[in-house]
Amino acid sequence: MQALKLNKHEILKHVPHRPPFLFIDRVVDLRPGKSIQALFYLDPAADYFQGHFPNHHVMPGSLMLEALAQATCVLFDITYPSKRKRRFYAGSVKARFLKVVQPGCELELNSKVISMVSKGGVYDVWASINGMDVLRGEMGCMCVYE
Amino acid sequence: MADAVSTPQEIETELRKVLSYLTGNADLIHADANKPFKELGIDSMMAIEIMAALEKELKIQLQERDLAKFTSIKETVETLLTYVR
Repeated sequence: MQALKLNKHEILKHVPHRPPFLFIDRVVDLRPGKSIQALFYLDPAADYFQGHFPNHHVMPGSLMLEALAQATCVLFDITYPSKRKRRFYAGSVKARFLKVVQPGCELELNSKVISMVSKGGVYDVWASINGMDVLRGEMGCMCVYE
Repeated sequence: MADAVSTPQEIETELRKVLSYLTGNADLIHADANKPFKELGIDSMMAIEIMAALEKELKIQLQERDLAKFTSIKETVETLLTYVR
């Protein structure tokens, strides 16, 4: 199956998140049931950089994990589409931060299925910049139908 | 990774290791096999993680319907046995 690509407008159909708490700009390679690669530009003007830290802007690791969770959410929603309302939760995260990430670059977000069912899954996740890993981890996510 | 696990005892041992690791509760190594997972502090989110860990450890591919059978150590072992025999 050919890899899917999504623009921001299309991404919004698959995640409940909205700016300023949306951390994906576009999806460049999505293989339903298997993996996703998405991109997010780290805008130096973003509010969180002003406080983290005032004289040394660093992308918060917790937000990189959030970005990976959102990318995973897109992968899940396309793999298991549903008209029913549902909420997404991260149940567990194991992560190692490998490099300090500063604004002005594009963060590559990757999530690969370890195991996935219609209620959630476990994923290998990693973030990189220009192909160099800055975070690697494993994430367990689930959805609850309303 | 577990070496050629196939007997109920071996599967139960692997399952208890997985449960202890994922929950951080070493007592699960000795927990009552008939006690419902809910009473052992294992919720539905963990069931998916348990499924992923068991697939990796036992080199099997579980089905979504198996999740509903993960209700206790005893029930889970019985489900897993159908894959390793």
